[in-house]
Amino acid sequence: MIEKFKEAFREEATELLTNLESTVLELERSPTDEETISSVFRTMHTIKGSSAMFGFEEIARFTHEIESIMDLLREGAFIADRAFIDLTLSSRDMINAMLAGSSPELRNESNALVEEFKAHAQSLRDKKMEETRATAEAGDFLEAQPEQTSGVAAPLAMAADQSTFRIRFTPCHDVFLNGTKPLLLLEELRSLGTASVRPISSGVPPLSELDPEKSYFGWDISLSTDRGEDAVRDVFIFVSEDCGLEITRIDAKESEPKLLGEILIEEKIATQEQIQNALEEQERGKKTKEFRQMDSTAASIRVASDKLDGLVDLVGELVTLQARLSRTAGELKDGGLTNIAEQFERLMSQLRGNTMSIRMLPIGSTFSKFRRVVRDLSAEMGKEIELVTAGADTELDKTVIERLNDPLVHIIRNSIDHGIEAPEAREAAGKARAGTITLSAMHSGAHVLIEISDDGAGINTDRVFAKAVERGIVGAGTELSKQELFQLIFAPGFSTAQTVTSVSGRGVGMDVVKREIDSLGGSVSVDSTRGSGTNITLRIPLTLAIIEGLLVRIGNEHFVIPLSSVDGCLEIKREDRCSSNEGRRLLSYRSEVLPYVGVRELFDVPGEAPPIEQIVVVNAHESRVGFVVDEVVGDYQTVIKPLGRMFKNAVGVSGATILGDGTVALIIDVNRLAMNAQQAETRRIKAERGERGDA
Amino acid sequence: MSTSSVSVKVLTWEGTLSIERAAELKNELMNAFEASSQVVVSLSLVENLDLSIIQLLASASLEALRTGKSFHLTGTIHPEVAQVFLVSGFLERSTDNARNLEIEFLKRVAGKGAVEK
Repeated sequence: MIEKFKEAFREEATELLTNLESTVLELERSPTDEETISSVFRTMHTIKGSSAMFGFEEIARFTHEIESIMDLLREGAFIADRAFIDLTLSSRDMINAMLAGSSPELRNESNALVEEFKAHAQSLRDKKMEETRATAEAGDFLEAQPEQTSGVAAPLAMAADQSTFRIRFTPCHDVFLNGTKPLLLLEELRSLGTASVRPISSGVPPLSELDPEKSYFGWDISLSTDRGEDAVRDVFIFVSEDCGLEITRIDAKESEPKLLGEILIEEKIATQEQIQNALEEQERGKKTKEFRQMDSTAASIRVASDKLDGLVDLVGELVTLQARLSRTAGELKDGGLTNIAEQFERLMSQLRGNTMSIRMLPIGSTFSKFRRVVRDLSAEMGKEIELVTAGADTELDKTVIERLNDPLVHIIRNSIDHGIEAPEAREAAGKARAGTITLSAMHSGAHVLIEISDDGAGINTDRVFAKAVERGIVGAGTELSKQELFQLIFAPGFSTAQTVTSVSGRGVGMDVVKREIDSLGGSVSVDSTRGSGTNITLRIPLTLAIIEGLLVRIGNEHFVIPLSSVDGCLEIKREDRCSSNEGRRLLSYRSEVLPYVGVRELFDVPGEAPPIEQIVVVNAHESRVGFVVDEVVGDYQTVIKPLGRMFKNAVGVSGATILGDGTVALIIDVNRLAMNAQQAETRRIKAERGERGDA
Repeated sequence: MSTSSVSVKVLTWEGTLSIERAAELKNELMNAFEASSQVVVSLSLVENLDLSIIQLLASASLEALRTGKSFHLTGTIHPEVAQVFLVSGFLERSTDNARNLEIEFLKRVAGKGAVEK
């Protein structure tokens, strides 16, 4: 049982640490913001309290030390500098490591960190004191009011901000068993200020009726503290929700009117006892109301992600089954059944939408991680970089978000290493010393566009080309468009960094990015202007599990083309195809040249092509490609089933799906096939040119 | 645990007592109440305890009230034990005397009527 609560603690603590990271970075930006400082302090405090409660003594001890340092910061004993932020971040990482497990090495490391941190805090404090003294002296000299300018004024001002809380805490019966120790909570409350603790034992039954493992106690606590309501509530943060807890602030501010009860007693209209009884009654009433509210405000629950995955799988199966039902109903031409099938279809599509939305998470959680990456790497590289994010609330499937993490880190690392110039170089180029990396996300149909742009040097296409030639990726005489040059950076084994740095330049970055995004069914595009920056856009599907597809038929085989990449359909007559076959497989589409591929030839589908074939035009890699099929069957909602390991290397297929009649249809990997088609076309053109050149 | 006379049962508790032992100690108390009219718990050898044990003591005193028997604490209180009573609000000032503890404790648990010799 305890283990379960420990796990819950770990989860909560990890969440707290994630938030802490962004708060600390926020603190770096505005080191004097009181709200941010107390937020950091509160997080440390909460982790300390709860880790002690759940038996993570090491973490409690370590966090206690850090908390005391944060307390000094909060009291205004000094102002956080960069080294202080570094140490705070290291402490955060240390707690994270300690959560995973403890070891003697870790203990030594944490002790060393505490010592270092303390020493730094002390030096900051000394500095501040000296400054204060200097200011005070100057102030004396000028006959100004030194206490208004000195840093010592802050804690004094806080002390004046005392307030009193009435806390009624009635732990639930199983509090002894679930690992919460009410004693620790009471101790913590006492540490916040002056507390008077009055136990309520009226619920305790006589021995013969007592279940010795249940808790029947409650407490009435009146606490005077200068820490504010949040700090009081934080004490109870890990107390499960079904515990009775009421926190009322009873003297918010001096200027506030006196409580009615106090006036009544003062005027001798009522006795203390009467008031107390009335108050208790009131409180009881409030409690029932609160319980009722609690029922309605339980707005969110935590669910293990594998349960969600299971749900999505089931919905996937249902979608397939529904397709079969619709088909069977159509074949049987039974009105009743068709009616049911149609209703089922409608409900199914709602269920599908709902289930998918459950798995959607805002991408912001990933964004906040990058703040740290940018901060640490730019410091390492001696560059000044600011990360600007937009659209953090854009929602994406959880699995997609997880898989986006690595590619985004690679791209951002590249921007820091190759994109943004050193401050001196930037100044020489007439730019601001600090570079900016912008990370933004937005919805675009069934896709999310993620844009990573920097205001750095841009991609040096000459160098890219020279490197590609050197690496044998392209021939020396090849003419490439700007887009093609940009795409070269995604080629395996490509790296333009002159020296290999720890950040990037090992040449493994960008091709990994490309592969990962491709496997997500997304695409990467690059745009760059020399001297003013680079812009990389990722186009990512919202979800991986279900796609809207276009079902097409070749002979007796069915294929699915992802609908999101379909641009249009056209017809082609056999004689047109034959004539163009002699030359190039090109036709004109919307006044553009359109290369096309015969899916029949591609997959060796047996049988004769019909006299009039269909071409499905798809968007892939910034250009259009046509796929020749026998017939376009229509829109088809489908669940993607991964292909087995045996087919891992099958080119041009990204998955499979089960059709309504139970047969299997392959899902066409549009990007891959389009790329192959374009390359084949380029080769053909080159070969032709070569021939002509010889002639 | 030892019996000093037929009508008085003295239970000598030892060591660190916590929820794990609550059930066992409850049975001990129940048996004592069945066997004699006066039950005394000696706390001298108790090094630490938790709320479940305090609750047990509270419940025992209520049992005594209900059945017309008597329940007392005795011995020298270990500072850590006193601290637990202090923190949980059952004691106002630290004491090493079980009698003082008993007076304050029972006053809070069962009202003033419970405190008589």
